[in-house]
Amino acid sequence: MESELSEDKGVEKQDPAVKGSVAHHIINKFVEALAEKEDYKEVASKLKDIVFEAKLTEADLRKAMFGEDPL
Amino acid sequence: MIRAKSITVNEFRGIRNITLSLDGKNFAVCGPNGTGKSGIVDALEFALTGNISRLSGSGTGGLSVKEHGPHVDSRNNPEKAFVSLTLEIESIKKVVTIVRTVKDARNPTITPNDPDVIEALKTVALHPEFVLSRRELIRYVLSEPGKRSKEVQELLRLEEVETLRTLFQKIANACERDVKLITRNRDDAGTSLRQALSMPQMTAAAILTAANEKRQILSLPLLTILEANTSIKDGIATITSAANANKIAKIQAITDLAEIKQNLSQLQRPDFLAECLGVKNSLELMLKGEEFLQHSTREALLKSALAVFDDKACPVCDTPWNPDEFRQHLAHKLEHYSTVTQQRKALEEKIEPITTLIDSIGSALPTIIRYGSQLQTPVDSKPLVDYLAEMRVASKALREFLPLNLSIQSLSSLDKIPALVSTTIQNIEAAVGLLPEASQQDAARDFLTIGQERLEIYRQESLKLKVAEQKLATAKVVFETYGQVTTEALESIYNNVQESFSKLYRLINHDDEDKFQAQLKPSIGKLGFDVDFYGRGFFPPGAYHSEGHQDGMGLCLYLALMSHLAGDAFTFAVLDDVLMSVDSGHRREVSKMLREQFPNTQFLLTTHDEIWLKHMKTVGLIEPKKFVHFRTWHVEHGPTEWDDRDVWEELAKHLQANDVSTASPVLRNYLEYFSKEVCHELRAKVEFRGDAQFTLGDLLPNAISKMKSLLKAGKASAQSWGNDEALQSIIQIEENFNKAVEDSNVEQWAVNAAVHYNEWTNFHTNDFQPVAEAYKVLVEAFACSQCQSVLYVTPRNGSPEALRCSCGKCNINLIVKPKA
Repeated sequence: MESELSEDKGVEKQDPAVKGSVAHHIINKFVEALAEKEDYKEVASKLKDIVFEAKLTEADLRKAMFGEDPL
Repeated sequence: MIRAKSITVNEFRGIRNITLSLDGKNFAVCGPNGTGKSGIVDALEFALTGNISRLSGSGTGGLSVKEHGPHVDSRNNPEKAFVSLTLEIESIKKVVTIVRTVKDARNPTITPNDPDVIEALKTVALHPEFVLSRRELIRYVLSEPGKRSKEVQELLRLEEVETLRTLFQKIANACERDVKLITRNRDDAGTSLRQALSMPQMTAAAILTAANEKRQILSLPLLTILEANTSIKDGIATITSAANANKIAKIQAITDLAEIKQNLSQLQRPDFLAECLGVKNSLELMLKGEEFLQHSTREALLKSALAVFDDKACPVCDTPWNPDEFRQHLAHKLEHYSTVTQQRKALEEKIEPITTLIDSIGSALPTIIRYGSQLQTPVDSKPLVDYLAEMRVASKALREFLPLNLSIQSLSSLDKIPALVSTTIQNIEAAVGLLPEASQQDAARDFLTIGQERLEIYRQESLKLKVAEQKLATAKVVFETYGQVTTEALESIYNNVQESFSKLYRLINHDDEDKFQAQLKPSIGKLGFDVDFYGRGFFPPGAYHSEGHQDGMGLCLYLALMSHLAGDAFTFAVLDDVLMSVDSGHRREVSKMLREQFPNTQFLLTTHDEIWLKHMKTVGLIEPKKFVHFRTWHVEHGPTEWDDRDVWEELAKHLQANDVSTASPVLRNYLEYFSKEVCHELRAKVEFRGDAQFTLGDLLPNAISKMKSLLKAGKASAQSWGNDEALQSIIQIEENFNKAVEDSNVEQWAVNAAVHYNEWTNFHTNDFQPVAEAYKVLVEAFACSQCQSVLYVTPRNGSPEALRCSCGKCNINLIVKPKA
């Protein structure tokens, strides 16, 4: 039997490539949107590597965004 | 993601030992309060997560899984308390068994212990929201919007979105602060360079002109272009310097000393003092409203509140307001904010030249201090060091504006230059004056050396500023993109959840709220939730809807959220006594809704209400045997279940014990319940009773009569369409049904008191046994032989069109072919 809810046209389905939660799905959409902006493809790629980490810090993000290195 | 196959609970909570076979299908646990139902829910949660919410949530101080998880008699032997759960993980198509003891709750034994199994179970453990109890219903439906937003975001696991947003905002703010600070440093370096090269304005041409004038004196080639790496002192090393060249460039030192003396004298000029006094008086006037100034950032919040105000309650604190009064109140506050903000801006503009002078003194003093220490007989510059610290404090206070008393204090003491400061400067000036006059060539060399030093500093600061501005631009784009994407995504989620929720609620209340709509309104960290009340407007769920309706809303909102959260992976949910206030009619609809809308979700339902259990069975939400009925609970034995799990087996048990007096009311009560269900499903006519106390005699004959007429209509339809196969099938059903009716003697009740159900209690076992068996056959005759669901008429209103069962095996057309 097919659920009526599953037929909702407006209901977004999660990207199976994105593991985990709705939050990860939203964050992934942000990374995709950023990658479409001119000059931000590299930043988006670096952010994608870290934004799904559990213990994300400000320093991690600055490194991805600005290439800042403690050394 | 998972489906529970079986669970064994041992010495855990109120349970001594029990094994339930769920087989991945919906399963009900029924029993009066205090018979151990919640122990099963706790056991499932414990097996999957290692935790028991009931013992670890808010308001459970002093309770712990380790101490209170085991059965009270095994509290000193936590190794005996364990749960063994066998489940199927659909995504990897594996059957897994988790055995978790209270003693070592963090280290369950998992078989098979494969990496993909561990990974899948980790995900399940992170989602304890698969259990919905009535506490959660209240959390979603009746909580304040601010709290609801948090609860719903927690359920949807959205906190990561907010965490990342905060980090991006923090970075953007830090970049903005960096740009401001570095701009000031760059400007100070520019002023210093301009002074060193004696230029009225700093341009590349002016630098070249000033540098070439000195290079000509030194016979160095003139510079034609100023590039990023151009050194204005290029070639200077080839020129022999004077034998006793001083560390201090005398001419530059004299210029610097003159500059600082002039700046210090400006602090005491009457027009400057008058300006300071004017600002100070204005600041003192603002002291009374300082608290308002401190909160001036709330202006934006008030504007947002005004924009989202729904004419009912304050969107921030939910206090009900008269719309006009609310708008007037906020308008008054905003006007006040606007006035003080303008006053502050005007004063900050007046403060700017004051701080510029202070900063000039602050940036010149370190050079003078250095001169003091570089003299052949050094001059003690400590008074200058202390004064420099004072100037920096004053500058910071004035730039930050608040608190006002610090700014006022700074302005009050600006003209009071310590005597030692003037004396020290005079001493350094005197010592510099005694230095031998530099030759024109030495002076030119010093000029170029100092000029190059300051040009380097300026270039470094400019470079830093460029990098900081690039970072700020990146941070802004990232933050703005993040804000845009997440806002759109959250609005989309809430819109979808709102639609799904409304649809589910309409399904269970289609009788009187078939146009029901709900509104989920996210705003500034809150989630408003208003529902339509019979077309009279949108109100909070607790405003007019009954407690039963609110329970239904909580369940629907949970299901809508979970559908969105897990999508196709929403395969398992525990509904722990969540519909206690819902009336029987709507419970039936809830059962249908769960079965029809969530065919891929395995529900484990607990209830203290037997009728609710019967509804679940009647509509096919749970299959026969897929329930456990706890009858009693004893601390020594735990819950006692109905071993036969079926009314017919229970009857047989009573009759084996020759206990007709217990068996007869069980049969009568069950038949009354069953007859009500059949009358509802077949749309049979029943004589109305205002007290709704229908007896078996009011119901069962009418149900039989209706079934017969429906089968007759089915035969007529099959004949009219020439469908012989369908006709034969209906005839077979009809024959079986008529035989069952005949054997039960229901139709003889009116004429034969001996078989009237009221007399059953007086029967002997041998007389009652065939009666019970006959009714069992009759009950089965109303149901599909394949899925055991009671046959029902569709549609629910209007002319009957078909007689069907849940699985589709029985589908009798009731519409006769129109005559040509």
